Amino acid sequence: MSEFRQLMKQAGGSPPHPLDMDDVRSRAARVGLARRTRLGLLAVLGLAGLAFPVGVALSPADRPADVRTVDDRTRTVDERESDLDAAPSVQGQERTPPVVAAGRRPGLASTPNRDQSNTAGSSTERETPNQATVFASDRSGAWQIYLSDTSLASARVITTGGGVKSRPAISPDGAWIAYIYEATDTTGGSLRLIRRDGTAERTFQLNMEWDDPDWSPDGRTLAVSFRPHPSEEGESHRWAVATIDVNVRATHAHRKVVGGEGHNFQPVWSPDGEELAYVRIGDTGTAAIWVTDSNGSGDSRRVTPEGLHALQPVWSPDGTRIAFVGTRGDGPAHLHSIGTDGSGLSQVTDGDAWDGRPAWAADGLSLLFDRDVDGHRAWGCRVGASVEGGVVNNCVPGANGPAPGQLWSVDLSTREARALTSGQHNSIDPRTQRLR
Amino acid sequence: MEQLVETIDSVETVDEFCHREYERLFGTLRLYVGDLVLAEDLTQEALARAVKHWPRVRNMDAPGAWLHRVSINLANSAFRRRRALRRAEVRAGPAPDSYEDRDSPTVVAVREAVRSLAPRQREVIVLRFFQDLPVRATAERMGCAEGTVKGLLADAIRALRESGLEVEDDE
Repeated sequence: MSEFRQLMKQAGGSPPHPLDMDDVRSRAARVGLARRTRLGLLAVLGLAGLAFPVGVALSPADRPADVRTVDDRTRTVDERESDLDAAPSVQGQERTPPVVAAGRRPGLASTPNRDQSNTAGSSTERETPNQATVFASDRSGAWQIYLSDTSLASARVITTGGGVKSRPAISPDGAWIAYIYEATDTTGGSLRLIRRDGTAERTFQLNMEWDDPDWSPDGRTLAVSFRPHPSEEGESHRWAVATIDVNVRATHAHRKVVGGEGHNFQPVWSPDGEELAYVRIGDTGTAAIWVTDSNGSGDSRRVTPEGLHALQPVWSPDGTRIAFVGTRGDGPAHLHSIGTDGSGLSQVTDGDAWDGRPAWAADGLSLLFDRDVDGHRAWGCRVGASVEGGVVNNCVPGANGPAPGQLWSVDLSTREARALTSGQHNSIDPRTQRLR
Repeated sequence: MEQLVETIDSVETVDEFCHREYERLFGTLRLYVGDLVLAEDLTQEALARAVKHWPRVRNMDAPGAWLHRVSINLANSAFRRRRALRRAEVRAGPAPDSYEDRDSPTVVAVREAVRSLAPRQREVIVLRFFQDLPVRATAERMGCAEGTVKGLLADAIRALRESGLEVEDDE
């Protein structure tokens, strides 16, 4: 062999790490995705790896050095953060009076993102006092977060710009909305807060992938799913549950409360703030709802039975039951509810459609949810657990067609379901909040 | 039954394919993009494409050639490159060049000289001198005529020599 060829071999070298097929498969699940609506949760089954120590909080040095601009706005996130000067109000006091009757906000009529024609059923929709509803929709052409204080017909857009926004959750005082932002050219979601009038935004610049924010009843803490970025060297891709004190600004400290075996994600607070329900996918690949103390102490207990794939839990307002999405085998996903002690399992919806993201109405009498009537194309979207080649897929709308989904409501006493939105655009990820 | 078992065993799985191609693909990309971390990232990205499209790829006459094309396309994509660089920085910090220190000055010089070539020259040099592909196979990989390969090789070798490297004529 010539000397130059030998030098070329040396210059090419050997990979610094052995091939990780789990990482490759994880990437493969995202191939071709220009946009991901993150309706589900990307998770890789059966991966062994590094676990984050309990209570870990990234130092400022661990945070990305860049200050990213948000969407198409001219100011940077940090600039807007300085405007805020504080995290969301924990006393129920907003710094500005953004609460304007929905639909009468100055300038709203000319907002191109507002699409009344996309909404149906508003005349008969039950209006629940003191309840705000948020959801994600692509009705403007881009996935944005919408807020409604009364009926969905009056929902107004909160966010602007590009990227994909999903998983909104509104704070108990109604002042802030947490959501997941994903730029179209990056992997993983970042956690953001935005005021209900869209005037200020804050990004938690932790070098992690985030999902599923949920506010504690006192509005002080967010429960989230998180994991290291998939490409981070030497670390596993297991999801874990953490809580973030939204008032800690120095490091945006987060505290791991559920981790270890399998993937743990989609945390939701109990109404009294004492417990968290979450999803665990163990090495068997079965997703189940578990409950644990919200401070991470004590044992976890399994709520849903064996043989039922259960995801996306949400507590009833009185704290006695948990609604969730469940399916057996490859069949459609339906809403279920179960007592927090595992008793009284009840299937709420049925039929061929694939239902997801249940949210209790503040009066506890109905569930809001998103429905995909052609859900076989987006199984991962609906329940976040398409097991294919050992990989639990996220929503992959780009791969199998447009992300489907409309908002529906089901009466818990009659089991009657009705559409709240319709049209060619999609509305998904509803979340309600009883405002104090 | 014995024949059936043999037939099944002869079918390459996607894992076997990825493991077989891994080192060669990484070396190709290392030379093509010049950066170790980025090359590793692009390698994984290219293999992910193979996994994604395996039902189609496995029936190709030359899946390795397809993988090569995909990897070069990925490396050429400014969008992908930026994205991969960001991930690389997340993984290894903003100074991945520190890896270069482990190699001898001559190897570093070769890498830098190859990196300075035009993309098509770089590709032809890597295919001929790193992968040791014949001219015909190189032309197939690059989707061009053998004469084009020879022309690109001549230009690339000339450029490498101007960089101070001793490069023998292509045989």
